[in-house]
Amino acid sequence: MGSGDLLRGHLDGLLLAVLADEPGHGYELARRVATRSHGDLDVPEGSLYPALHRLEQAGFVSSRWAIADGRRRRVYRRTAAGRRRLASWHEERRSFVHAVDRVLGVAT
Amino acid sequence: MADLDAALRVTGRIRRRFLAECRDHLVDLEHHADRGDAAVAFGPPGRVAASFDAAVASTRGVRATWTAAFGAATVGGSTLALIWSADAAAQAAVPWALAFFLSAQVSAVAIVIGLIQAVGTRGHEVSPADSALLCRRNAIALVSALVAMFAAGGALTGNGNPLVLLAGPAVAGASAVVVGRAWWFTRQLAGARARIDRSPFADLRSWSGLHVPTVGPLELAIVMATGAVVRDHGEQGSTLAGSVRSGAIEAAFVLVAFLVLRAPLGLRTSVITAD
Repeated sequence: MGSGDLLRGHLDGLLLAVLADEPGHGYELARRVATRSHGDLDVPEGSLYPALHRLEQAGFVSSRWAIADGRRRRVYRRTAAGRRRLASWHEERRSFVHAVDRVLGVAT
Repeated sequence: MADLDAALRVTGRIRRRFLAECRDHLVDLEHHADRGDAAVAFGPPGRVAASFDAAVASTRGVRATWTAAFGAATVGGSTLALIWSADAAAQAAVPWALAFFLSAQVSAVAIVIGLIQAVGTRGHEVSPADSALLCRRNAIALVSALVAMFAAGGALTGNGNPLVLLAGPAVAGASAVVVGRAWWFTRQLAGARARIDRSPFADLRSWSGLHVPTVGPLELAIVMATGAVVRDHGEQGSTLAGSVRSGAIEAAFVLVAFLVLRAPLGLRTSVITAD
């Protein structure tokens, strides 16, 4: 489960979701996604960084260098705009899933 | 890391930061898995590098769009200052006047569809071809704005404040550097040279949630022609025959401009009407 193409449109939303609890660096965020999905979402971990760059440039996350686990790491945190973006992403995903279910004839 | 470094196109501070983060990530992966698994878990370096380059191209293109819009608007302001400072008795030669009106409208259309695209792509994964299209729209907007100002200067004589008149071209020049830099970087990426089309109406629908109808070139020509007739007859008091002639010229301009510019602006009809 969790082919790269299926995940591609959802990675930004997943990152905003796992940043809800507390800030984290790239490796931590990858671990949170894997843990929360019980290993079902197989994200190529290098692909997190282009997504984080996009989110940061759009103002949905911010980052700074910090000492984490005894080493200097780039730590990301979600912004207020990122919280709103996550809410709208949830809504878009819900609408999409309902629409697909209707086409497939699945009870909603 | 060597493969990632070799595949990555972006340079400078962004490159150093990205490689530092990837290095840290790989170190963490190696601490928790054996070396082979770390590389597999990280993903193919070529693909990761291409994805990051595409993200950088997209953000540079969006930034260039705001700059191009500001540049075109400043040129528009300088052009208006030029027109207002023209001699009261100045008569604009027809070719200059036509060049002015056509290029001003092309600039306005290019910057509007560029802004619509930029707002829609903000924060989303965007292909290098999409980023290249945005850069083309920005470049056309800036060049057309400058042509409009040049045509206005050629059409009219007068004395204007040189600082005000030069402000537009100066800002447009600075904007052109930003647009050019974004375009130069994007063109290096795989897939950037693919000519794609992108409906501004679909873009507007996707991020505004509004039910925006798709307007084809014929409908647009009719709307613009009607506007020209109303403007000429109502505001300038031209005869009806003269106003209709203005409207016909306007409609012809819209259709010719669309035929010439639809490919570089990514507005080819067959794709748009399929939307």
